[in-house]
Parts: sequence; structure tokens; C-alpha cells
Amino acid sequence: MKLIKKIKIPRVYIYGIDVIKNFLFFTLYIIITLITIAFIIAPSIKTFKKNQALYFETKQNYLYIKTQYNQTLKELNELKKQNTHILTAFRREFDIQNFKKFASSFMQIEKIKKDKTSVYKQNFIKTIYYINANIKSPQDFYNFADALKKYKYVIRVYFPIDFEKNKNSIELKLKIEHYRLKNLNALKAEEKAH
Amino acid sequence: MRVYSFKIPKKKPIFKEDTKLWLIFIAISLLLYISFSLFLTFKAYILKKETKELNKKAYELKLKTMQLNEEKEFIYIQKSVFENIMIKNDLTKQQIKNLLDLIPDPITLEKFYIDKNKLTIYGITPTKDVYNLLMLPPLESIFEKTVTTFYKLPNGWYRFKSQNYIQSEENETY
Amino acid sequence: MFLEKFIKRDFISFYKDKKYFLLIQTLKNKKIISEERKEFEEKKELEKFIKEKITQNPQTYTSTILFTLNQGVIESCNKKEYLKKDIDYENVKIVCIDNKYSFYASVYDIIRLQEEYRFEIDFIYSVFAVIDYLAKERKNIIYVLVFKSYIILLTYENFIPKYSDIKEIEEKDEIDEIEEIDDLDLIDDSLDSSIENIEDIDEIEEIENIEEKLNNLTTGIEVEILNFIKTSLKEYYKNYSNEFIEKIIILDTAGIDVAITNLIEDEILIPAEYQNPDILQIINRLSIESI
Repeated sequence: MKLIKKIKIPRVYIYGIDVIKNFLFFTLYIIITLITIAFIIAPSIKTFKKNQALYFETKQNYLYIKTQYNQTLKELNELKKQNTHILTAFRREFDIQNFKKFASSFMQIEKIKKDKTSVYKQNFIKTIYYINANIKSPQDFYNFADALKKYKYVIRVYFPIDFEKNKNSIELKLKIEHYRLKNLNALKAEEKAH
Repeated sequence: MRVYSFKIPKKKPIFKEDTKLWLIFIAISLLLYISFSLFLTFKAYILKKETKELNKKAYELKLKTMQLNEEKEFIYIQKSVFENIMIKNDLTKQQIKNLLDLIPDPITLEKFYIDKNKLTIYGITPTKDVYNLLMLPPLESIFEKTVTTFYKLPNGWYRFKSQNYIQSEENETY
Repeated sequence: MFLEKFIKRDFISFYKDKKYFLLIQTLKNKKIISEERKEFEEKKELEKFIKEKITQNPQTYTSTILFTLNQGVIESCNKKEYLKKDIDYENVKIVCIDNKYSFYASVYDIIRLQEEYRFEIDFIYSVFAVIDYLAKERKNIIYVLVFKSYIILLTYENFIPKYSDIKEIEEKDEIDEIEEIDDLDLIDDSLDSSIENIEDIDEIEEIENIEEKLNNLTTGIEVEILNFIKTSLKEYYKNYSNEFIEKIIILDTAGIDVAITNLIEDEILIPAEYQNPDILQIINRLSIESI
């Protein structure tokens, strides 16, 4: 038979409380607490802090990008506001009647013939029109050319330009080019998206 | 297992009262530690998710900003095209005006055809000299080549046809 | 539960027979790992000891036996039998064994027993239950359990206990004892001197008388036992059974002479056997088997 040596732990009672047992339990509690803190709580605090730092960094970055975006948006809207005339002009389809009305204050239009259409600088469409008109004097022509600046279409007046003197008027033949943006429909949709 | 006793004992606890207290105390503490840890882990997970979210948003905003910048660029392009055209209009007008102003009083124009690099004028001049002295020099100074042809009219005046050529440096696509 | 293997249980059995006798056994995993026997003169000492053991280990079970006279055995578990034997069925606590027979004791006695001790008694057994546990032979046999203060008798017929009785042993007069001790001294002296004084017949007679008294001293309990058996037999044959008793077993805890078997065989003509059971251990066994 094995001889098992039994360690005799004295039982100390103070005011009916088993001192040694409670002390041991207390120590056990401390050990458990420290171990949990070391192996369970500390790592989770670390992870948390790490994620938190990353989050704030990301947030800063995001806010910066956001301000940049807002800034750019503001600038864009400013630009749009300042250049409405130009932007709207490029979006207009050429209406012969309207042009006739416009030109009537400078010349009397006999005939407008639409010629070819081509792509200009990737994003624009240029349409050539040949105009036969009557003017009283070259000044009408000059006025006409000046007035094109404020006109709601983007029109270029170009050679060949023919002046032919008639009995009471000058017959004017000129070529105008109308410019507008390509992909108007796509652009309109994009605008709606903004 | 026969029961001989007159009395059945009540259930005895395995642990003494104080042991039980300690065990419960330790168990509750452990529970608190673990729930705290879980709470932190949960929060950390939420933060990670939100970080991802923010990154995504930042990226999207960046793309949008790029888009906006493209739009701005395009507006600038439109502006430059427009102004370019206006300038050209002005230029054209000015060219014509200059040329028409050139014409001295005695000479009257009948036809005036101007093109990119060619100007053809049909007009009437009292004398050849008037034309040669007053109109030709300016024309020559502007144009590289001038060809004038006269046609004598019944009344002694001359009808002239002036063909002027200039070397074109411009190309169609400006 | 799986924890059963690791729970340490203390079983304390005790009884009062002039002194307090106690046995404490510690069990782990159904095996006895330690035991300790103690005797106490004062009840306070016993209570102190037991209370201390209980605080040290909450899994402590105390057991004792009931020595009251108002207890016995009935050869059935039915109420009818109890009423037939004129026992107040409402005021007894009954333990039924195998649905064949039962032990009873007065409820008030049980309550009084519990109130007597300042700790909780977990198991209370009838004295007869102890005998029943020990009884291997159960046909026409009488068991006589002998304590210093009590004689308990239980008769078995056909595997069922039929007749039970308890007798309390009275205290002997002190005066006689003291005298007898003095006589012993006298004997020593007189024996020495008797060799010289052969003519002193009176003295010799005195000696003979003293010798008789001496015999009476050691055979007082035995005689009581004998007489108790005799009266019980009479009662048994008269009212309980027609079968003859074939054996008598003496269960001794008080330290009587083995020669009592001869005495019984001589006097009653029934073969007798002597056993020396460990009552405390049996009580603990009963409790251990109940858990």
C-alpha cells in the first residue's frame, strides 16, 4: 500500500472565519484577475485602440477629401454661373427661324442652306450654313458680326464672304458655322444627376 | 438499498457557505471581465467596419471630385473655344473692315469676294492711276500677289478686277 | 453527477450507553479513507466535536439509534395490523421493509431525540433495524442485542421478524459494591490467616458467602438476559407462534462473558451463539447505503 504523505494545513479561525482558506481564495482571485487582464483584457484593449486610431486617421482623411470635394463643387458652380451664356449657347440646336429673326435687324435673309456637319475638337459639332442676304451697307455686316458676341448661338462668320452691289442694296453671301456640344442627350442626363 | 431510517436527511451542500460565496464572486468577476473584453472586441469590430465604410466613401468622393475637375476642365475648354470663335469673328470683321476702308473715295466697288487666302474685287475707277496710286500699294503691302485687270468702259472709266493672293498659314481646324 | 467521485463525505454514528460512543468515517468515491473512534463522558463534548466536524465539512451525516421502549416491529405494513396490536397508528413513524414487515417508533420520541442534541441528526434508526441488518439466519431464531443499559430482543420466524422487546437494565446499588470490594480485601487477609486457623469455621462460612456474592457480581447481567429471554419465550409461544425456537444469537456490545452461551444452553436447552458486532460501524453502513 502506498504511503501518501498528507500535508497538514492548520485551520486557523479568527472570529469564526477560516483565515487560511479565505486568504487562499483571495490569492486565487487576484491571480485569476491578473491572468484575465494579461491575456484577455489587455489584447482586446490593444485591438480596440489600434482600430480606434485607424478610424480617426481614416476619418481625418475622409474629412479632408470631403472639403476638397466641396471646394471643387463650389468652384464648378461658380464657373457655371459665370459662364452661363457660353454654356447654354453651346447647348442650343440651331433654329433657322430664330437666326432669321436675329439677322433681320442687320440684313434681309433670302436663303439659308445647311451644308455639312462635322465633329470639331472631339466634343463639338460644327454645322455650316450658307446665307444669302441683303444689306444696306457694310456697316450692317460689321454690326452683325459684333452682335454675334451676344447672340445665344455660337456662330462663327467665315470666308468665303461675297459682297455684290445691287441697285439699292448689297447682296451678301457668307458662310456661318454653328457650334454646339456633341452628345447633348448624355450631357443633359449628367446634368440631371448633379 | 433498503431505507431503515425514520428520518430522511435534507440535502447537504457540497461547498461550505464561504466557499460558495468565493466561487460565486470569482465567477461573477470572470463574467464581468469577459463581458468587458467582449464589449471592447465588439466596439473594435464596429470601428473596423466604420473605417471600411469611411474608406469607401472617401474613395467615392475622390472619384466624384475627379469628375468635377473634369467638368471644370471642360468648361474651360468651352470657354476657350467660344472666345476663340469670338476673336476669329472679330478678326474676320476687322479684316473686311480694313480692306473696305482701304478703298479710296473715287473708286466704287461692285463686287467684293473674300476668301481664306484670296480676295477678288470688282470695281470701277475713274483712271488707272487712281487705282494704281491709291489702291494698289496698300493691297500689295497686305497681299503677296496682286493681279489687276482693267477693262475700259464706254464712259472713259475703267472697270478693274483685282485678284489678290496671300499665303495661308492657317489651317482649317482653328 | 460526475463530481460524486471527488466529494468527501463524513459519516458519524453515535449512541449513548452510559457513555457516548462515536465513530466517524470519511468516504471518498464510496471507499472509506479514514476512521476515528471516540468516547465522551459529557454530552457537551460530543456536541462540540460533532459541530466542529459539520462546519469543517458540510457533507457530514450523523446517525444514531433510538433506545426508547415505545418501539417495535410489526409483521406487516398495513394499518390493520397496527390497530390489531393496539398501537396508536397516528402517532408512530413507520419504516416499511420490502413491503413485508415494518419497524415503528413513537413520533414524540423521535422529536425528543432530535431536541436533545444541539446539532441536526440525519439518520435515526430503530434498534431493531440494526438487528435486522445483521440477521443472516431468519428462521425460528432469537437475536439478543446487549448494551450496558439495554437488552433488545428480536425473534424471526420464516424470514420475517415477529416479536420484539426492549428491557432497560437497572442500576446496581453502590453500597453493595463497596462492601464487596471490602470483602475482597478481607478474603485476601482471611485466606492467609485461614491456613493457621482451621478451627475457625465461621470465617470459612463467611468466605463461602463472599464467594457466592462474587459470583453474583459477574453474572448479574447474564441472569437478567437469561430471565428476559425466558419471559420473552413464554410470551412468544403463548401469543405469537407455535414454532419452536431453534437458535439464540447473543449480540454483545457490553463485554459480557462468552460463557453466557453455555448458561443459556444449560438453562433453556436451545443452542446459543455469541457474536461481537460493531454497532457503530453497522449504523454507519446503514446510512452509507442510504445515500
